[in-house]
Amino acid sequence: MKQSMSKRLLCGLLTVLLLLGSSSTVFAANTATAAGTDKPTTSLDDLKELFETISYKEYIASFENVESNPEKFVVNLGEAYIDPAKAEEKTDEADKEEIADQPEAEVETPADDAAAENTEATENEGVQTADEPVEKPDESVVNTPDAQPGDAPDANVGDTPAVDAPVADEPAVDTPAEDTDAKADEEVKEEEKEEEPTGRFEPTKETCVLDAEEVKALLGRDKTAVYLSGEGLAEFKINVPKSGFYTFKIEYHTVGDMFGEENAGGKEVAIERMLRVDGAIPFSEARYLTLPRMYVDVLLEDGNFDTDYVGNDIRPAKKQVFGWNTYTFMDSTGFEVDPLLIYLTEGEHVIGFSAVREPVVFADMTFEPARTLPKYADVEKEYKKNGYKDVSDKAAMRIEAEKPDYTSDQTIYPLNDRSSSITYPQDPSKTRLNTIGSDKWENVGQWIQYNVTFEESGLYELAMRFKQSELEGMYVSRSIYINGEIPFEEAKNVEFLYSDSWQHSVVGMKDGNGKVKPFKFYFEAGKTYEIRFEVVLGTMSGVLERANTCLTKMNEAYIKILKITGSSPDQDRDYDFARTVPDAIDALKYAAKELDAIGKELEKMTGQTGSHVATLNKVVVLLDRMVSDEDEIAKNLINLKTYIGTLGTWLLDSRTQPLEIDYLTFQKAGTKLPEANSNFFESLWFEIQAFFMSFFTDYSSMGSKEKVDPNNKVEVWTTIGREKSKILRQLVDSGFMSTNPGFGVEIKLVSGGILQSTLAGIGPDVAFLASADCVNYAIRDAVLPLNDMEGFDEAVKHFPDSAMNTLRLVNNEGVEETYGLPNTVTFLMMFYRTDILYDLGVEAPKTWDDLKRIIPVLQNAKMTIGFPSKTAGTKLFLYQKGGEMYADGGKRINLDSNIALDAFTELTDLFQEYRFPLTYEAANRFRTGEMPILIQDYISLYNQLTVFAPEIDGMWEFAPLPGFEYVDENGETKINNSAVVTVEAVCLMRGATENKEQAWKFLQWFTEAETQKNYSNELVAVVGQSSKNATGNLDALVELPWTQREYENISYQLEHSAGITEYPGGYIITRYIDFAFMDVYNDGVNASDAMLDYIVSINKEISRKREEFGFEAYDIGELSTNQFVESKD
Amino acid sequence: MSANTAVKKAKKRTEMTKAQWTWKEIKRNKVAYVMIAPFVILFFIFTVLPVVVSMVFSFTDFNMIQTPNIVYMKNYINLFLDDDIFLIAIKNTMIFAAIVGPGSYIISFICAWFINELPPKIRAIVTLIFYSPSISGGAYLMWTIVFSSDSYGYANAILIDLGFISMPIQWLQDAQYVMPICIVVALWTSLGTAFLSFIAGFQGVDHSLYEAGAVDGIKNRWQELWYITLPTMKPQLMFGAVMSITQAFGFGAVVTSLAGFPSVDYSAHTIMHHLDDYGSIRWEVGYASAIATLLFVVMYGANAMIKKLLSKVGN
Repeated sequence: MKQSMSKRLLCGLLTVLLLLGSSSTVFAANTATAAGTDKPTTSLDDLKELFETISYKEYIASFENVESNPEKFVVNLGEAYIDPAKAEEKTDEADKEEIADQPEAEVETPADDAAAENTEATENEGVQTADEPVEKPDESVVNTPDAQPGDAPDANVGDTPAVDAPVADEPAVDTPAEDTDAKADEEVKEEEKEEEPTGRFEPTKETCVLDAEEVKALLGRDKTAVYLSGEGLAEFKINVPKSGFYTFKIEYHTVGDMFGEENAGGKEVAIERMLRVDGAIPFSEARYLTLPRMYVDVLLEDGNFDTDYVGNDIRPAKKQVFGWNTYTFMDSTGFEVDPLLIYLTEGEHVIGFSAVREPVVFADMTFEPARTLPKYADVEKEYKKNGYKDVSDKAAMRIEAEKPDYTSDQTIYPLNDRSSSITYPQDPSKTRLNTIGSDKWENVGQWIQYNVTFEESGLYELAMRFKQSELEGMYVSRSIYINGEIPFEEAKNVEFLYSDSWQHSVVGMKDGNGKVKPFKFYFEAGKTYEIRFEVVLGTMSGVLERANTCLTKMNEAYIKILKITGSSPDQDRDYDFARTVPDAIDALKYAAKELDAIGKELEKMTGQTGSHVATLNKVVVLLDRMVSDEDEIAKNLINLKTYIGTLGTWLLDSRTQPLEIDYLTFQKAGTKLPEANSNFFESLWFEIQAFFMSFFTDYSSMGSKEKVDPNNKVEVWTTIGREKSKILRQLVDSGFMSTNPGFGVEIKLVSGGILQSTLAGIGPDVAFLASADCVNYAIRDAVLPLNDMEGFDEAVKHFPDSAMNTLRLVNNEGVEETYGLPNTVTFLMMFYRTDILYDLGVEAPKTWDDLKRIIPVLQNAKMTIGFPSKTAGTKLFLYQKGGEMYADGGKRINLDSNIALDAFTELTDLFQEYRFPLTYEAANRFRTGEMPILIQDYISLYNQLTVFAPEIDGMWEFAPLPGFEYVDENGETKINNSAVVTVEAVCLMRGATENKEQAWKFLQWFTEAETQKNYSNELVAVVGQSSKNATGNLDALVELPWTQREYENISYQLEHSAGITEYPGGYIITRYIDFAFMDVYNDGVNASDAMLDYIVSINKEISRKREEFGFEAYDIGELSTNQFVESKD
Repeated sequence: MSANTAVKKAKKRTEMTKAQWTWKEIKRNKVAYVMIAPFVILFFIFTVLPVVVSMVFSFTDFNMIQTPNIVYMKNYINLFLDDDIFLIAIKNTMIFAAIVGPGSYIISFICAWFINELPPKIRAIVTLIFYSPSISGGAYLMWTIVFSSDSYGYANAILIDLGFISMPIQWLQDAQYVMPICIVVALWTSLGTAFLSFIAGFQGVDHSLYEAGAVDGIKNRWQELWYITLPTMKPQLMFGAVMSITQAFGFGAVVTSLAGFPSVDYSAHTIMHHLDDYGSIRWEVGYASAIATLLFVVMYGANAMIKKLLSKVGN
């Protein structure tokens, strides 16, 4: 998760920078359209800031011998907000002119000061407000405190005393800013008078200040706050009382799409911001401010898990709760264990937050000196001084870990452990959710919180039954927070050692004799404590950070060497690396030494040698060999590449901290713990039971809540895999069934045979099919047309026309019919390595001409481009040149048109002239840097890179395709960069003739935005970040956990896409284009000739098929004369 | 009881009609019939019936979903007169059958012969090694790595390293190379059942025959092979030949997984591929059935020819 997060952060950074580039976002968008493209781009300057920001260590080191007397102070961000509109007032008249250009603003009248002020003031809140203030929703007041879900996790989460300090007393906010706010507030009030309160605050895209009343009504705290939208930069003026190193905390409230609404989703991703101090990012770690959300499990009223009809527990749904929380400025990678520090000199500063994704509300920001925690020994003395005593035996509190009160991620859900018969609850035949954590709870910053109310005041020890069987020879770490604070230094890093079975032990520290001395915690009776376990890297962090540095250096060195030698270096040649790339050699030397030291240190720390150290040693041996003898560098370059990957994976694995917990007990110190594992006979009996029960268990239930009535059901056949089918099942039970009672839905996982079973009359009612199959089955009457179904127009509206095109056909009676609704829509996009492009000093191409200019630069550096060949490439160029695949309504192929022949020639030229490779393993070559630019299907490559290439995290992004420039009818130069979509659809099969209405309801439900959103989000939650779903539903796409920039890119490409209708006989086209392409590639045949050779064959097949199905067709004999072939000039 | 039998036995065969006599024989051997019944029923349902149905379908325009119409000989006429690809397929199949059929037969035989000379324990191991390509189903997929068109494929990488080529050769996407590669791989996988049956055949030869042969004036190993070994293992030779030739004609899956479907420019398109093309891509089951019927006839003819050839062994 972390890995992709950081990459997304990177993309977000670039977006933000772009937005900053122009004085007004709205205006920037307009100019872009006028210029012909509104495609987001990455400039070299953006990359410079990205790759040249110093690290935190360097940052701290740069402040040697400075005076540091930090003094705690609190700033209310609502009051300190610098409204850009107000700030602009001071700038020159040019701004006004710009604004006057905007038609919506209607400030054509001579700009007297008042009018200009008005326009500018409202500009950041959406231009329309100037004319239609009544409809402007953002500042309306709301009076539904009961609908406020914030009261669930609420107020005392991390409430620090500082936050309660009276805001008015703070000296931090200087007068001009207050002035600004006052004005803004006035305006707000004016508008309030003009409109009726809607009863709900509806955040717009614009950042705005919420005054204390609004905050109280909406969010339940009596102080001014600021709403930060999911885009752009928000800046705040602060006044630092004394120079020094400060860390800070921010009081924030999570926001969904709408405040106050019970189940307002928001995207199911963390809120992310980038910190800027006086306009600049102080160090690279400040890019990643991750503010977690909070989730609860939806349980039955009696607190149990829901069960399916067989009696298996069903994984509960996760619901986000909105509430106040405190963010501490920490390193999101976990390498720095303590809160990060920034150095602020006395006086005025501007703190800025650039949005990466998701809106949020900020209230107070507390600046503090570096954190110091008491030692446990001191805490213990304190206990003695206060006269605290151990509790009695009866006071013990046992908490089942699988039922936490809150979790930081929706991915942390209860699990089923069958490895031990004494894991509680357990059942030999049924699924019981009985543990939590494991690989779902392994990334730094993820936490689980239990709210515990004790019955007896006194000192408790904490025992846990846990399993850490993943990291052999290592330990995993957790921090313990009680009411938002770490009680003592040692609780910052509680270590869980490896064992292949369950362990049961108390949380404590080892004393001199190696015996564990339990920590005692003081709890008062009747009070509720929030006990939170957060993933940290612990003592491992320093070592891992160093390994990470080595990895970065090795990567850089590899690319440098690669640029000289190419991917398969000549072993006999003397490259003279010492002269050409001395820094690369130094980097390898450094890495060899450092990794060796790290390996030794790890062994010392854990006292075990294991496979993890062996990995490091292997890398060290290779590096040693390479640096000791220069000839070995060329020989081992390929190995180096492999080992960089290995090291990346190793680092990723070591950074994950999986821990599975069965239950926790708070009890009197010294209580004897029960055995951690069942004894032999218990296990044996359990296994015997399980074995015999397995004969009677229905495994096909797929978690269905009720047994489906075989006579009254919709049968759905999927080919999407077991996990996905299970998720679909759950969504059906929780969503579809409740709104559509009266019939059941049966979901079956199949691996094909849909047509055959339809033929036999035992086929499904609904099936998942590729678009080509869908249409091909339809012309054989196996798929039903949807056009007459109720609500068809509504259902289709969500999908891009290109995707629908692939599912449409004018049938043999001349009626246009649609045969399915898109499930997934995928298409090609351009992936590129930002680090390499920056290194080479080139920008990502926007047109194919740009690309051609880049090719020599890449080829000089022994790199190349991964480009779609054959049919995929031909389609791409054909549609970007404005061509079509078919002519005359599908009656003949259009590949003999001039446009098509041009497109095909251009494609084959690329491969012949630039020697693009035809066959390659895309992800592999991308990760090694051999192909820094890659045109690939976006979803599969994205998902693959997320898990496959952790070492290039944050060094790549994807953007819309390059395109061809053309001049439109108005004489403007535009770029056509459309992509051709591939669609997988859900279809109504012939089997559904009887229950068409019901099956259609299922289809409608499955493809609607809400379901698609839930489905996609669940998929990520259950299967992981590498299972992002390429939904075709435009309304659902917004809700998916992409960063703003990624979303913009994907939706841009989706809007600029084409879909090829599948006509009868379409299968023949791919084959012959491939043949033509290979003729050119292998034998150097003239491209046009090669293509023209096959035109007759294609047309014949199309005619034959059209005749077979009774479509209007050209006569086969007529086609053979080549009469349709245009002459090519 | 015995009286009854006596009465029945009294009725002579000449006194019965043919049907009566058959029925009587069936009743007499009913245990044998019961024992063979499971096989016959399954064989009929899953082999004979489909073949017959397919022959019937070959005269229709069946498309898997809609009711078929009878089109008489149209499928066959199209196949021979209007289908260029079919001619390519026939050509390729013939080449395959001509090289791979006898080729694999000869290789199987030679390997079996050599292995037969080894001491028993080593023989068992070597047999397993030789037989393994054909038991481990998709093992031939390793050839896709060897002949990968990627510059990292073994063949390409070696040739590039040695400096013979600078651009990777598209082994499996270049009409020039596809067929030879497929033939090599086919031969490699062909040490299958035929090979095993030969080994069994060699071991089944009675050693006293060699002694007798030596007495009768056999001078060398060749004569021994031709006059003693081969005639003794004729049944195995027959079995091996049938297997080899059917395999060669039914060759398709290996090509598909190596060169894709269809192979570039139909360069390795066999009748099996053509059948697949029409059967499962175009869903023209009628036409595909016509192809299947033809293939059946060709195979049958080839088998008859082989029988004739083998009858000459040892003469």
